[in-house]
Amino acid sequence: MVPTHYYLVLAGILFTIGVIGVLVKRNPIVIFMCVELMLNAANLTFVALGRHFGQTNGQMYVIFALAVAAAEVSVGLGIIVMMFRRRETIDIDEVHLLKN
Amino acid sequence: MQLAPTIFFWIMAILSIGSALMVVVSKNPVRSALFLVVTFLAVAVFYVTLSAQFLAAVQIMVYAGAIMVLFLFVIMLLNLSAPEALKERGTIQRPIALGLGGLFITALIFSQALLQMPTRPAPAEQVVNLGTVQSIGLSLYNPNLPWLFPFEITSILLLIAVVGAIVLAKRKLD
Amino acid sequence: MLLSLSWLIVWFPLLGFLHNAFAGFIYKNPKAAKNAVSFVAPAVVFASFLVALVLLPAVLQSHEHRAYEGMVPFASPDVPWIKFGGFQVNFALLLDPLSLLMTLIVTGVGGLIHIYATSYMAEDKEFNRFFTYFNLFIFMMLVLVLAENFLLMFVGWEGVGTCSYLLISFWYTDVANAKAGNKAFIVNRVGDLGFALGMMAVWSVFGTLSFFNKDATGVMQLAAAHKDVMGHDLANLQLWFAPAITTMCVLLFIGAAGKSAQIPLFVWLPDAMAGPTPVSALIHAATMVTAGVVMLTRCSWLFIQSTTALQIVAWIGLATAVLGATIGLVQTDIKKVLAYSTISQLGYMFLACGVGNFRAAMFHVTTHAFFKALLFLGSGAVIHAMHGQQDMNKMGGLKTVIPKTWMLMFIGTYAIAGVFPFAGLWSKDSILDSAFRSPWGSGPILYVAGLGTAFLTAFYMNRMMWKTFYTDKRFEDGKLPNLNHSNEEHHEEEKPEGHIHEAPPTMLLPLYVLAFFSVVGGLFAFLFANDDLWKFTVATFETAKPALEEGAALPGGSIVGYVISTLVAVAGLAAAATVYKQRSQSGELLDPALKPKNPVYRILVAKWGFDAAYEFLFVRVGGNFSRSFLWRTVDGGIDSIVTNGAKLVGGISHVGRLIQTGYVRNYALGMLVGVVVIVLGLLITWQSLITR
Repeated sequence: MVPTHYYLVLAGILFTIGVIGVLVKRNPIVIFMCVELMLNAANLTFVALGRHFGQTNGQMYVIFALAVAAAEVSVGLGIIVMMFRRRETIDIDEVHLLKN
Repeated sequence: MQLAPTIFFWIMAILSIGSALMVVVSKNPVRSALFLVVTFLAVAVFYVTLSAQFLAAVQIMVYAGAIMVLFLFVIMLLNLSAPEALKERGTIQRPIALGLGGLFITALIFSQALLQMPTRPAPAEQVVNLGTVQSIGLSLYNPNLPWLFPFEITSILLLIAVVGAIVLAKRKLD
Repeated sequence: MLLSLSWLIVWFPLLGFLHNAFAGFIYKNPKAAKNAVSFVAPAVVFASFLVALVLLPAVLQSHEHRAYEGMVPFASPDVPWIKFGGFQVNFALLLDPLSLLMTLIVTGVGGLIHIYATSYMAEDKEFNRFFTYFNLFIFMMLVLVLAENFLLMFVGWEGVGTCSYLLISFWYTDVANAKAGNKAFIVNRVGDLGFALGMMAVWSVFGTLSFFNKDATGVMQLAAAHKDVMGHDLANLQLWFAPAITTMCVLLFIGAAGKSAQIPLFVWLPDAMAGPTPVSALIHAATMVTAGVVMLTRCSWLFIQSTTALQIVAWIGLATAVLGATIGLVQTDIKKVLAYSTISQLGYMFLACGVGNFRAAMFHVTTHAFFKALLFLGSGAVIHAMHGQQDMNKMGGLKTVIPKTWMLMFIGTYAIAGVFPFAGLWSKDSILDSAFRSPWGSGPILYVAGLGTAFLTAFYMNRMMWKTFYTDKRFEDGKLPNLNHSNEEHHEEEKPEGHIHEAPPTMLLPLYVLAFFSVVGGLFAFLFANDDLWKFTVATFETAKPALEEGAALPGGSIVGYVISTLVAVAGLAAAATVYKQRSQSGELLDPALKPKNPVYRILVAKWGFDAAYEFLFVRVGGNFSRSFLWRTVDGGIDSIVTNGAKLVGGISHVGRLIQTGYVRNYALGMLVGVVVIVLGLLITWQSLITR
């Protein structure tokens, strides 16, 4: 099989791309999508290592992470919808009440 | 190492990284969402190669099937197909983020830590049935293992999420 | 055991202090409070006197006439006060002839002065406060004389200094009085520094601070045996031992000089006359100022190890005696005359210590307590009669008007002059005699100078008598202005209406007692002649022993000495009488017009320039130095460090504030930075981490 560290490096790269996306994009929905990307990268790491050690533990973590991610997405999108209703814009830079 | 799985891995890796980059690079949020779906599918393929068959199916069902659909619904709802028009204010955000990200990736690729796993991976015969439904089920519902409790709690979590989402999204009662 | 109650001696005045302090709270009626205070204050002092008297036989029967008792009630003398490492001092009292003698003097004479003061201060609004301080002073003085170790004595030392300050500036609404109190305290402080340093030197050489100890490990016993408290023999280290002892003694003497008004720290005593007369009598005549002498006598075994130190003590003592006498010649304030007289007599006491005859010094302390207290209280009676007038030039002819006071002052004058058979002769002559036989030379010089000072003493005392009592009246009876001090504002509009009247019996009774002792005090000589009692002052230092024992064998020595002293005293008295009789009218020796031109007069009035020199050196020069250099450079420098530190912090935070942009993405970026740093760090050091 493919050496495990290949998967780890791949997951790391995906994770980094997700992070960059979170920092650079200004549309909150896209930011959220990049967060999902990060979550996936983490899940990939878990599965790869679970396979490496021959245990099901890795996959169990992923199942629960998946469930939580689903719940989180629904609530998060609800927040974004509310944000849009208030301001008529979803440029994340407009939400700067904490400035200075 | 055998040739075929390695080549297959590299192709899928390039595919997944490429679509992830397109998620970030696209100006159109719908395009971003669609590229993200591609990424999820690639990850599902990886799960299969890692003997996590059940998980691959779940990934496609939940992530690509439910979560991304939700995303697309919200994008449509907020009617934001138009590309982002505003110019970014003169911040140092982008360069720093890109610089750090590049640094991080470089370190990941070349770091000794990730290039050497201290133990040998489990042999293929042993893990053939690692991720089957039966195997997952035995682990999940086994009272001696710690997974039963979180399983039950997750149901409550989902309930809370549903309630929360409804409360957040409903309009005020006039 | 009777002796175990010796803590009562110290605690009675302390309880009196507490009672007087809170009298206002205890008694509802202010009049009742005042009556209670005027009973309790003298009573506690006499109670201490009685306890000391009762304990006297028991002490004399103790081993080596020395008893160690605890200061904490019903506790042993080993109750530790400070205890860490090898350092320990206890709350302990040392009862021996010296401390009991001083206790009896302090409480006896002190008690009499308390009774006098109840009458003298009767019209003062702050009566209770006065006796609070007075009792506190007695307590502190007793701690000083009864202390078993240097540190406890230092507590009493500082305590009496504090009480002196409190009592000198008792009428504090007048700024001059407050300043006098300040002067006394500050000059005292300089001396205290010497004492403290001396104490530290003692400890560093000997390793203990107790004076005497049951197992011969007290400082004095160790000094005599040339050992330290661990038993190491110090005599082997001859090279540093002698200078160390000398330094120690000189430092302790500086402390004594501050407290007992020797050159150069005497300048506070004349200013201290700003306090009420009972204060001057008790503190600045009989007790506190003798604390220095008491301390030297207590440390006599230490001092006789160093002839250098003894010489310093003797010469300074002699110089002070001469200085005091000469300045006293030109004073016009009746209390200032007595103040300079005190300085002069204290000089005599130190002269005695310096030639090794500590017994003579203590003898003089005793007789001096009697006649100086008598003189001060008598002058208080005069001032009281004259409604606050203290200037002798405005008195005169009081012999016929207040005869009882006159008689008492007469006795006091003859006592201090040293005329046979009054007390002053015996003690002063024993000093002069031992000065003549000084074990380190210069005997005749010391003797002649001492005799000359005795002449001056008699002269200025009789000058005082003549100006006050014998010359013609220089005032109008019935029209005396009220110069009495008080803490209220003066009513300037009051018409002078005072009549002269004799002092009331309460004030006169203590004076009679003191006068009696001034006359018969000479009999105490037999007490001081007893070798056995005063063994602790006798030298064990071999080379000094013969000379000291010879001089100390009989206080007073030869008949010739007595005769010479009496003649000199009589000559001084007669000289003054002759001179002032001729100037009955004016009461002045020199023509007022001539005064500013006479150089001798001007030097004496300027107090030999000490006050002027101090004022210039410390007040002006010191003040300017402080203002210009210390304030600007040192203090300003420290200030600027603090201020600039604050400014630096402000600047940093001003810059740091820019991080708070309010944009979510920027905060996320910050998080990323942190994560990257951590992970990179882990990746790089992975190798070393896993090999550990």
